[in-house]
Amino acid sequence: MRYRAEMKVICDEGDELDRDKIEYMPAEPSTAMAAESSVKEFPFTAIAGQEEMKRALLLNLINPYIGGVLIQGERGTGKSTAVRSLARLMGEQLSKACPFGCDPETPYRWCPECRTRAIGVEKRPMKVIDLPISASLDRLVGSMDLETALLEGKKRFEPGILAAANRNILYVDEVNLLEDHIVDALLDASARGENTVEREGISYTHPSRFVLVGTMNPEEGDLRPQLLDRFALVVNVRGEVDPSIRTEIMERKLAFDADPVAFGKRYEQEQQRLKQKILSARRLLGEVIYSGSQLNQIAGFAATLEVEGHRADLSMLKTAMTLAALDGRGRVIDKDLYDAAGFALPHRVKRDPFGEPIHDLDLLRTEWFG
Amino acid sequence: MTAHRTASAVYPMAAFYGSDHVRRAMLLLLVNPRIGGLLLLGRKGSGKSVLLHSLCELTQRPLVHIPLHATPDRLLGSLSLEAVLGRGEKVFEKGLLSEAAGGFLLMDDLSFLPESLLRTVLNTHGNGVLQVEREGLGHREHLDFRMIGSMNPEDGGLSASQLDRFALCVSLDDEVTEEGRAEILRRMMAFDENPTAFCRSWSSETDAIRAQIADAAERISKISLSNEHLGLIGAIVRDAGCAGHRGELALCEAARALAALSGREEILEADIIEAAKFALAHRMRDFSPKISAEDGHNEAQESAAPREESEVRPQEELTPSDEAQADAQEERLDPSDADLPPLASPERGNAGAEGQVPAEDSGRISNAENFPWEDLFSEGDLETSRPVQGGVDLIWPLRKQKALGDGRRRQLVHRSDRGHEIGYEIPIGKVKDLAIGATLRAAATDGVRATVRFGEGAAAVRDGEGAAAADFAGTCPAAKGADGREKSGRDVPVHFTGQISAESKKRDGRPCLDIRPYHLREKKKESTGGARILFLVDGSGSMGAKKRMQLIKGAVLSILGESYLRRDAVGVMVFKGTQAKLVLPFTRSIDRAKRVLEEIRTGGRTPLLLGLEEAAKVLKLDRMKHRHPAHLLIVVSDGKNNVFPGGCTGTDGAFLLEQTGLRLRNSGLHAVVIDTEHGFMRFGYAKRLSDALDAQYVDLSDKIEPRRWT
Repeated sequence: MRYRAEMKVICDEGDELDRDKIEYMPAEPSTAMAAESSVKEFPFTAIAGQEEMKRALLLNLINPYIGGVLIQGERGTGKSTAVRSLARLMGEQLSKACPFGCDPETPYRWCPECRTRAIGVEKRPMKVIDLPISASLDRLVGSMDLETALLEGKKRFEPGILAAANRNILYVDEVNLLEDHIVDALLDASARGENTVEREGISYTHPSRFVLVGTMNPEEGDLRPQLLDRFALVVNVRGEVDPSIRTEIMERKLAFDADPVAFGKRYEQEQQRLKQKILSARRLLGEVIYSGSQLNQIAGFAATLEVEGHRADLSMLKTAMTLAALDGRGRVIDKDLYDAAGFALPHRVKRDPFGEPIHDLDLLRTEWFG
Repeated sequence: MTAHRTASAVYPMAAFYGSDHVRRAMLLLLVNPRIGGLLLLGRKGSGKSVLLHSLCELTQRPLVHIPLHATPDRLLGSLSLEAVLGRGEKVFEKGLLSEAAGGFLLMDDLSFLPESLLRTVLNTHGNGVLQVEREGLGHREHLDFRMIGSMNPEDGGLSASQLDRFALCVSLDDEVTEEGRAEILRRMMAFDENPTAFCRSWSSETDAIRAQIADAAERISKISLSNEHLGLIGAIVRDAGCAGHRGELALCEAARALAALSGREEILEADIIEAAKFALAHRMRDFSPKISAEDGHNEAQESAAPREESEVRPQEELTPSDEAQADAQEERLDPSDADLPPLASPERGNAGAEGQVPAEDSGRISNAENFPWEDLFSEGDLETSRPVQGGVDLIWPLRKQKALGDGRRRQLVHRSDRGHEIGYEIPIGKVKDLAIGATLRAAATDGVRATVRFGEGAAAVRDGEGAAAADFAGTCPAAKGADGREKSGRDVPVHFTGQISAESKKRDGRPCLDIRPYHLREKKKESTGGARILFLVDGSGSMGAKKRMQLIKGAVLSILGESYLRRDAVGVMVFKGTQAKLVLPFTRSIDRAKRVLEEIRTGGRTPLLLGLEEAAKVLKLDRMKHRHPAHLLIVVSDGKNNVFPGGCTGTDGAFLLEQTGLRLRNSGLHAVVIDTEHGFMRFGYAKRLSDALDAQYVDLSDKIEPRRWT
């Protein structure tokens, strides 16, 4: 995999591993490869239908701090296509030139390397990093670099997928089929925004804040509740029933398969427009305001639905703010709250032992914010 | 020093809304090092982790966080690869436990920490000594650290003895008012927007807490317990019915810390009563790590009237953790149990059923033998009732047999190719998953040995032979043969000649390793997977068919209802007419099970024999795919087979059934037979099948149709 070659951190030689002295090898630029691969992705704007899903993904693109999205649905509803197509919408972001792409503006989240040395800033494209369900724990969290260990007798941390995912999108297809110990590692990292590796003689901590995007088919088994709770938003997708949309989907897919480049060009303008929209929404997001009573409303609503814990409240508020920004509004309105509840709460409503929600979310949100 | 320190954007404890008693318990731990440990219980999203990590702002001592995927070599320490390769020295590289010395060890999501790691931590903490004997190195040091863990009781509990290792235990009650909820949201938003500024705005409160801790820590040495205090403590602990004496000690230390926190030098009765809340709740016999508002109230009442504690604790508080507790107790009583056949024999099952926990009272079980099977099946009506909570324990005996651990987990723990790494081992056959670090260390130490063998220094030769012997013996440390080193202390490296290995080559002037096949080490893993349970159900049109199907639905769904805890998968095979069909292939999905079960229609004859054969086939195939989890067959039938393979007639029915049963039993099948025969005339075929299968037998006739003559 690409990022494998890019990032290597050498730990200093010594009896005890001194985390403050870590050498870093500059990453080799691989923008050409990134550009090439993204041409092969289906353009996001060419996806017909599935508006809810597209909206949820855009929200996460605009505001990476919402906390990810889980897309549930049958096979062949364009879940993976939509997620992968995000790659072409994501712009570049300013990053420290370290293996983890630390955010220059949040020094309190820097990796050990950025903390100890002056490291330049560069522009890097945001990426969709795949976590295949067959991935081993070593690849996920990082491990000792065998080559260096063998040839030089030095311990070197070879960053894993969690490192590559920092400030990017971490995409897990069939997330419900992940093995338990992989899920544990994901939970650990997502809870603290950093990945601590204490394995095989390696001891290393680096930031790992990512947008977790998962897709799954509920027929193949349930998701562990702890992991489910980590997804801020949930969307359910169904196959489109409108015959005209179905025809549209077929036509576009055939056209794309025939000539991806030409197809991509056809949508270029629309893609650019959406990119601009995302950028302006991102700028606006910082200025979006909400009233105190709206905040109280959210808390009250969550309490009414007997939502466990406080993650739901937070993601609902953030989602509402991002929805406002997406609409180009500077303030949150009731409709934003209504929509946000639909995204942030369905998986958190208290359920009976058979998994049926106790409260009717749609009814209640109409009552509160309709 | 520690990795944990790098996370400087930590939510301050001062800004944590509510749960004052939890924060107070944390302060106790900070103030008094003799309180060895604290366990935080809370549901998901209740802020356990936030609180746990907020410690780092309040202490200058080392804070070490154990990631869930830590490996034993990092936890305990191991041979330093760099030292051995770079300088030809054998040096012990300290692990996380050593780093935590004098400070705090943080364990978030304790339930997911591999069993073996947790055991190591608890033992080291309990003994106060870390002893490592591995890779030809011996290391022993005195360690004193305070551990603080968090867990969600819904994720699986700890055994009573493990709970006991934590001096104090508190629950985060997440019952907050609407205003509280809003305030929490407000603070979380503020922290998210600008953590640094948020921390700054709370810095005066944080400083106040720091000062309070410093003041109390200084004062605490002057505080001692009088005889009256001890008498009161003894009485409280006795009334609470705690096992062992850790409770008393924890209570004493907590009371001292409480007095110190209040700025006093003498202990009041109120301190002791408050301390009892922290120190005893999890040690009481009926403790369940349940978090609810009532629980909090109960605790408050207890503290007000400690002497009534044992009465205050009612039966209804029994919840899942009790099983773990029961586990532990039973294991203590009967250590040989693990070697017994997986399923209790019918006699034992019946014997246990007498005079045991009345099912209506608790709905729970205290051990496998008196599991209220009838209860599980009594509430299977999909439309009107909820599944019985205890339903999941259907396969309890199986877990017990297969479990490697002490039965703490409510999951099945087994060695497998997947799962948490718990160490390394010398591979048998082809290496599947190389343990890089261990392999390199093996090669590196081998090199050292070789040098010594061919080297000149007499002392070095002695050492080297020790190392060699140690390697062959497997566990004993190199130091055994090295007198000189023992005197000079373990951490002093043993020097060898410059070159690392007789066989090693230098490339570009750097040492390099010579790895031979016998150096290869493989990862040893443990996974917690669920059992795979196949229901074989009589779908014929005989009496009570409808009721029977409802029972099955209830049982299946209740198992799946908690399957996330145990990762159990359930399948359903129905036999009717002339065929047996797997209507629900193994699944963990409730949705799917529900849909399939709704659609099952009954009718036709009863081909039980065929059903058994088919079910055995399915299980055999499944076992090939999933080698590790335990498989269980649950037969639900009245045993009245009336479809026979060619040439046989009804007169052979029972005999054939027994023969089939015996054959399946010999193939290693574990089974439970649920007898649904009813009516005045009973043939007991199902009982005979059960005996043949050596299965656990459950008579459900009453549930199917109440006996008419009564």
